[in-house]
Amino acid sequence: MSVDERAIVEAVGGLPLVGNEEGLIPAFGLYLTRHYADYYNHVSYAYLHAAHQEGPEAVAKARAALIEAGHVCAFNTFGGIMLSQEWEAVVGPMLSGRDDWVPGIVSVINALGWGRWRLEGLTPGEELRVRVDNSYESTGYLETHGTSKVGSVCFLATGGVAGIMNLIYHGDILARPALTPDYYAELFAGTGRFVAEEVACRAAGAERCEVVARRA
Amino acid sequence: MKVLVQRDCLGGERIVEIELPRPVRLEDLDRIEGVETRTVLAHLPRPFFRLDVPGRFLLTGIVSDPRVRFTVRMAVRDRALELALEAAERLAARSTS
Repeated sequence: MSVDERAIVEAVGGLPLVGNEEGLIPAFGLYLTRHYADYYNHVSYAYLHAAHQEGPEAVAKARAALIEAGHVCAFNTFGGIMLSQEWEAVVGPMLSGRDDWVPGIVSVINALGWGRWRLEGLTPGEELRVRVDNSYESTGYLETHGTSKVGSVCFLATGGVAGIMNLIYHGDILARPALTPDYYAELFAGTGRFVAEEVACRAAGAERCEVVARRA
Repeated sequence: MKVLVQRDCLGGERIVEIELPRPVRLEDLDRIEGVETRTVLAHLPRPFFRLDVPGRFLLTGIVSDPRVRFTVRMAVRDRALELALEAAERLAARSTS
């Protein structure tokens, strides 16, 4: 693969990703937010813990909903980035084939401050394994709640990894589709879609977080 | 000019993509008025530019590519297409120098 992550992180870091006078951050053809990670974590984990008070069925629903938020984020944010002029200019010249789009988007993610994502393995069209050394989700959980007694907690990352595979190998982001609700349903609810699982999580005692996406 | 109006993620129709009759040149960017922040990543193989015009729009594109994108400010969203076309005409105008 010919993707130069350092060059991508430097180029994206050189973009003025700051709010305008209307309080919006237009970039990559979409709107970014500078969000307090602690706030998102607080809301997510309050929901998760409340579900644990209710029982296994509620827990399953809560975990699915939190991962679904990651799917929506991946579809709109990663999809929007991969359709953007910034992508064409910065990442595009490094892409020699579909498989390069995976390290390409992971490099951009590493410029956004979500933690340090590393590709542990990619079997094109079949499996993606991503390691996250310092995910804001596990870091936030540990700081606020200590070691997790409720399992893995990196829900947004989990949905994000599935989203990468769905955009690149289940759908066809290279064909520049419109990111519509119908296309979302096709990618994330249809047969043959990718789903991800966090197989190791720092918050639950692992050395690092690791997410694997495979076809459902 | 070929115009594509896109619905943005906030539910408006403020993202306007325009294909100019010719590729953008670096000097074309000087004809956009009111630019507060101008970013040109000239070192890239496909030089990316980003011009921020407060109160009107953010203009992005790639030098030597005819496609440009206007993300029009909320305050003037009703005039999104008009503002984008006006600026696109300026971009594509023949240089006087």
